Amino acid sequence: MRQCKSFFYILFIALFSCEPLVTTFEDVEKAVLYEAKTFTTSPDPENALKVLSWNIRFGIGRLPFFGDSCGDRTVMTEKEVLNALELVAAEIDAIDPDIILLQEVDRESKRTQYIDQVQWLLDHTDMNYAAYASMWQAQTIPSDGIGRIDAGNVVMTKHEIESAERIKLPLRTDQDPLTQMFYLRRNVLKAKIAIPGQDNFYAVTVHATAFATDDTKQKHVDKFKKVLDEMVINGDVFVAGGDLNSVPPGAETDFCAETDFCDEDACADDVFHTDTDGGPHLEGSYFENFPNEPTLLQPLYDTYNTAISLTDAFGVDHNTHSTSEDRFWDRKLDYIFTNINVASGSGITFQGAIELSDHAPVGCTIILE
Amino acid sequence: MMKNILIIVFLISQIFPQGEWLPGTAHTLPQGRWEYGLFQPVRWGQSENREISFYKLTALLMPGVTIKQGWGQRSGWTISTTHALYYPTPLLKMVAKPGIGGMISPEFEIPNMVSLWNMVLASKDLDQGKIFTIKAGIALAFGGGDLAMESTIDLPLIYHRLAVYYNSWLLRFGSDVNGRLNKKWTYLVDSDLFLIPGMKGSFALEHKGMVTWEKSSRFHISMGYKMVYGQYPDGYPSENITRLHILPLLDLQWAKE
Repeated sequence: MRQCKSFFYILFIALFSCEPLVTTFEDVEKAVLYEAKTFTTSPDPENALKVLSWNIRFGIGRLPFFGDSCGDRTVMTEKEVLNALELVAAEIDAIDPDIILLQEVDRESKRTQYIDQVQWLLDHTDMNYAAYASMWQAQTIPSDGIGRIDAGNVVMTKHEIESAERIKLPLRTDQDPLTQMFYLRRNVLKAKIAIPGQDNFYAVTVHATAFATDDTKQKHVDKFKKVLDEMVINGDVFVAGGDLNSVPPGAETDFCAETDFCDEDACADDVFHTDTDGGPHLEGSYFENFPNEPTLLQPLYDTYNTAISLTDAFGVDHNTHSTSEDRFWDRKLDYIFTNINVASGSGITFQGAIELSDHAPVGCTIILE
Repeated sequence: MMKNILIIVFLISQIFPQGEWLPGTAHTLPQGRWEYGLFQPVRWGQSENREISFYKLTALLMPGVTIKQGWGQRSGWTISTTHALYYPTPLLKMVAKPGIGGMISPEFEIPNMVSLWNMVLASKDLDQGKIFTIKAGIALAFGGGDLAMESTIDLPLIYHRLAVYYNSWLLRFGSDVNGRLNKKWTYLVDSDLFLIPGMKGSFALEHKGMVTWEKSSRFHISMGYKMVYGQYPDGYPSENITRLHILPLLDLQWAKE
């Protein structure tokens, strides 16, 4: 098997020797900026901004993708993707946010028929500007028919984006070198937005690792918080959020929350918890891979204001994820934090969007000072 | 392991269209001569004006045979036609799989398909030992009607050759210049144009430059480059995207009478 992998490695290095097969990134790079085809007049923020964070599952709704839902499909049809994007756009327009923090947005991927979903959403919603940072970019992924891929994080807003940067996050260290080479390269996306009356307003989004079984998630959350802390030192104002792939801190002690979803998420014929030490665990469904994982988000809650308070975060009304449309949201993975005030009672989890993605959007209104 | 090696040989062999799907000049091999290369097909001079070629390593996965028939000379041009038949179904079924090496998603059915590639070649001897060749042809495919358009392999060299199974037909044009640098060294410069009307990614322009060291009449080493400027499928806001790839070439060839 090792020889086989090496052979493919050499083959593709040779075939694409004049152009990188897999795009790698510097520690900090400029993000890709977008504008809508036609602009919608930016409203006066009137001292408040409505913010939304949403992992849109690359615009395929709940279709049975092989990688995350016991599905058997890799490549969707153009009609399927456009239908799903229409529903996402309708939800965005119904919520009418000023800023959206999006994760899992495709723009040049065979699995979603190469539709640039950043441009498509700009052109089919009231949003005007966007910044994009890729977390997975390759000419081809020679596995499962994935083919060409470009997927990442997006900040989308009605107001002009002055600048944006992609901040590199560490790679997983629990993979062999070949798999790691072709695997996701996650990031923090930080965009400076021209909000009237604000000199240094930033929107920041992140999508932390889902499937790592080592402490990579700790590194991702630590780096995310470090970026936010540095903005505080600089006197900046920010709203930040995303899919942190972490349960609320204290979930392991809360009577109605879990850190272990292996049995719930298992596909037919999967067997977990067979070892005497409780393993093996299903990647992405177990939240105690390292000692501090259940309390990973505590420092963020301790330092910043949030859309959904920690007390409310344990309630079923604020769960944001389930692996199957057949099961209602059963865990909270998506969060919004800010260093300014959140309007009282404005935090909301849009759980009606259960057919639109495997994540529910989370929103709130922040009060500008 | 062996299957993966065969896939690799198939993919690399696409760099050498002179051998597989399009012989370079209108000249046929002398009767009784065999030529074979690491990545090029086995070629056999079946008679003074007929040559037969096939890939031995991939014969089980993508059975195919090419017949080049010479038609003599017209106004100083040597005329020949090539007729190639391919059955790609076993190979495509093998790469439609989960995990590493899966170039096509296993969700897609691969039907039984064949393609027939017909070309007309005309070669003219120029001064200083150069041979100029022009060629034009059409490829037809049968049985690909049930092939999902989403199952394409959108890679240089491969996409435009397999496009015939999705589109039922394509056109191919080309020209070659073969020449000699000195007693031991020869060169080849060629270009090929694939046109697939009605399909996303509807063209590819390929250019190859090679030099060959003729150690003897029985052993050659060739090296050079292949440049592919091609259009590939894209989505909103544009239907197509063009890309340029430059690939290295290396091949070893042997011959026997």
